[in-house]
Amino acid sequence: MSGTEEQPVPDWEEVARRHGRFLYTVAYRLTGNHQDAQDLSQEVLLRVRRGLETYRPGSMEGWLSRITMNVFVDQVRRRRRRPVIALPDDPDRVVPPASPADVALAAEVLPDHLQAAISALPEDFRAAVVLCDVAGLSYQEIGEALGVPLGTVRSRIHRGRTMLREALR
Amino acid sequence: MTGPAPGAHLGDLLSALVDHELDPSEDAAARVHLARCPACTAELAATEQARALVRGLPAVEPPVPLTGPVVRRPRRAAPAMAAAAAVVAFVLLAGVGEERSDLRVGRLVEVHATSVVNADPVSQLAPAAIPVSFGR
Repeated sequence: MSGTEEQPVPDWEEVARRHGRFLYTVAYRLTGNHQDAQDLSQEVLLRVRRGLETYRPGSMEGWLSRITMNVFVDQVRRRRRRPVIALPDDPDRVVPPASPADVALAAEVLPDHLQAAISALPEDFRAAVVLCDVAGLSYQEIGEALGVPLGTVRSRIHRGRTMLREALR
Repeated sequence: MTGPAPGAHLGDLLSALVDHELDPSEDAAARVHLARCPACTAELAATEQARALVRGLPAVEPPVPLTGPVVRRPRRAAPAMAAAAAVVAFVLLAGVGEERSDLRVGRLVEVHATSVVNADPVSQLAPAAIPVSFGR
């Protein structure tokens, strides 16, 4: 059997049981609150259940992350509480190096404080950081989930982390 | 993917470096640069620290099981429309004839909950629901 053939979509309850914690954690880190995280993860499972998302064998977590991002982007577009700050995505643009004073983050950062800083990131950067450091996806998988090229993944992750550091200083 | 220009700071490449996402030639060039650039070395340490912080966050358990009925948050909708939708859904469900005895409570709750887009559906439904036979 070819590895690229489409496979039957896995049973949604099985997905929820085995990957629910992963899905919910990603949803929570993306949205920053339980209500939106529940909406997001339930909508993801609904799409799985209805067979709305093409399944290809590979990383289940990569697949779920892609669906999560599709739903997240839809919800953000619908709500649009605040405009996305569109920074240029030039991957070759070089961010000035940090001064030594920048380097020292507080030794202990409370999870709620860190979550607040993540939630304050513009959506594009937040998504890249969460997919990298919460979902643990490769840059390739992140590019597929977000529909952007590798250079853009690199710059979004690095700038997202840089903004987090500035917020936590 | 192009590596850093000679003499340029590493910038966005630093995250890719700590994530082991540079290809071998980029990785080698970046390490040559780092060996003689204290600013990028400091930036690398700060990048690793930010990365470790987020990676150290705990997993989050859903407060309610994700396999439970899909209950949506009430959305803004005209109350009359909401009540009408609820009544239609309930009457349809209750009037399905033979199939109705097979309906699981969870399914009823789910269809009901997804149909009701505003609060307090029960009091609106009661008059419509009572006369309907459940075949007992």
